[in-house]
Amino acid sequence: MKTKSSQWNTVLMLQSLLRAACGILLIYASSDKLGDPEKFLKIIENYHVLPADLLPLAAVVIPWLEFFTGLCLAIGFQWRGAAFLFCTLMGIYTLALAWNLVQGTEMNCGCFAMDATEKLTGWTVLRDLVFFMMGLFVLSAKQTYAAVKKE
Amino acid sequence: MSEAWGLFVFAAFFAVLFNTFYSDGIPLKAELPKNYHLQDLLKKKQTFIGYAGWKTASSKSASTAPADLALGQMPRLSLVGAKNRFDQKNAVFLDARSPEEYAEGHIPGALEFYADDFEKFAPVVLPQLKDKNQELIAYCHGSSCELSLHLANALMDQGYTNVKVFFGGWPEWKKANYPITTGDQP
Repeated sequence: MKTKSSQWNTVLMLQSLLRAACGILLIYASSDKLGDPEKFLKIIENYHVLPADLLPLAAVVIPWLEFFTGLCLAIGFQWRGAAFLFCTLMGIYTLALAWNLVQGTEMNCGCFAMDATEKLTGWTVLRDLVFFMMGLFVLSAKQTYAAVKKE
Repeated sequence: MSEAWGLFVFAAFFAVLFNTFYSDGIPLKAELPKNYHLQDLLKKKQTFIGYAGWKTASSKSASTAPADLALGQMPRLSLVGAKNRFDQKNAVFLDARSPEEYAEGHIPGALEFYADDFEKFAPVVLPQLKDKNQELIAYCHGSSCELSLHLANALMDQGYTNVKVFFGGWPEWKKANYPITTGDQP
């Protein structure tokens, strides 16, 4: 019984660590985009998945959504909702990247650094899929350690 | 779920508010930022749009597809994308480089269409295209070259709806050891 409890705690510990890691990852990903919405707009424009009218709004909202979602995950505040948003973001990114990869579109991923010339490859899609799976694992947790309590 | 929705609304509201007061904020409803350098270059190339021989036939399309829109919606192809389309043989490759460079080597089947001499090549090449929905892939010397962009934009201005640019162009194609051919014939 003690062993089972101990194993359960190990899983919970891992989920908590991953929750914080996903949060830091998302904050890092947003940091380069927050100050330059115009450049980010050009990047998401090349994805060809959003209607032109929505692009400016998406370029403004996505970086801040990443930032606040990342912050909530990192400190464990409303972490379940943040984990759901993390999965949603990663799911959308994975599908958008995969679609462009299949289309053979040449584009800058813009995932972490906007100036980086990271070419879109199968590894990029796989990496985002791993992030998505990490998010699902965090979301499956019933509770979490080291979280800011909601009053 | 309500937590996620609340977080989304808060982030969106904050983002819009921040953008309103941020010195580098962007207009949410204005035109998309364009490649201003290309825009300037295109303005100098008014003859692209004014070619009388076939502008008449496509005047309606040209008026509904301004250069601004074409620049904002320029799809780009990677080497893989270009090779896939080459293998499928559905797309038409357009070589935007000079006739001398075309003769030295080009992608087999690519039509010679020197972007700097659009008026000369348009009446020769355009009648060979199936229709305005034909997939067209423009290429030139690679990412440092803008001839393919000029060509693609001029074609989009004239109502061609499925124009793409293979930015890697000739250097990338050649480096990959894909099929090439020489001479002035496709």
